[in-house]
Amino acid sequence: MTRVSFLMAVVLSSVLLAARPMQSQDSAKPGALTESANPVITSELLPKGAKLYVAPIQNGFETYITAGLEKKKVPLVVVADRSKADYELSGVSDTDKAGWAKMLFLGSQQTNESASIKIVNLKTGSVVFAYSVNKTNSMRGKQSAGEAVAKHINEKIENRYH
Amino acid sequence: MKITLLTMLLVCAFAPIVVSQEGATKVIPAGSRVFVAPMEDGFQDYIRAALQAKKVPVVIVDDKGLADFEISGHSETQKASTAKKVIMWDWHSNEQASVQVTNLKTSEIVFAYSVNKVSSAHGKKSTAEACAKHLKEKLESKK
Repeated sequence: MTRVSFLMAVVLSSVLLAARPMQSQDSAKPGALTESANPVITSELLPKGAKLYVAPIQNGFETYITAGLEKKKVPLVVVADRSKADYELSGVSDTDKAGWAKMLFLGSQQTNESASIKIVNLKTGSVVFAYSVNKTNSMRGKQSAGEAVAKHINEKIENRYH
Repeated sequence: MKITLLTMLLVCAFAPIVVSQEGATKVIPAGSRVFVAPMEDGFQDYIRAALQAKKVPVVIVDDKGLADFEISGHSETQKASTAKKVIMWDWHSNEQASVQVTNLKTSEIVFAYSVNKVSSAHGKKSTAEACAKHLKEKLESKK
């Protein structure tokens, strides 16, 4: 009877462990550069399955980032409510449209896109990831910039970003 | 030995159920009630028209309180300038749009899509129908 109850406990604990989102052990050991009250970039990893809130960015760029996260199959759960999130993504975006000179001399009507984002751990306040992108003559405008951001977030999660 | 085998069978039986529940939260069931939030330049009207044109199996409601999901997004139109018309002989606008579908109960974003159309033949209608088409694919994939 004791043996049976021990085995049942093992089954239950393995099921509970499978239900939890995967977390890296390194996330418990942030390597802070300074001890000031301001957020600092840490070596903390971004765990798979974490809840991410994408803050509003000018020109609606946050929706392009969300679409990029979906397109690149980034293993994060994007939420619309900041209070339910573990991390927050915020940033800036800028579009430079093609003028007449560019159309005349280069035959190009594509825009130049630039964006910069950071991801902050809402519990600790540390910046776990930051990235900037600049695309000259972007084929698909904000969509390209949003997908570039998503791709590098994916690399950060997989610990391939350097 | 028998107890060990029974234990292993129980673990194998429960684990897939737990894993599949994580993916099930991003499913948009056919017949769901959706609210289309106001967007710039009245893009929400184009989205509503596109959902009907593409026969997306959702019910569009006007009251957010009655909806299961909310469609929100952003749209931008770049009209053809004089330079574009003269130099490139092109009077079509460039369109880009991005939409996201939020589950109003869990606040989770279950679908997002962005589209960019250079020299769009039908302007916002084209981008709205592209969004609707991919939303329909999402519903039909049941993932």
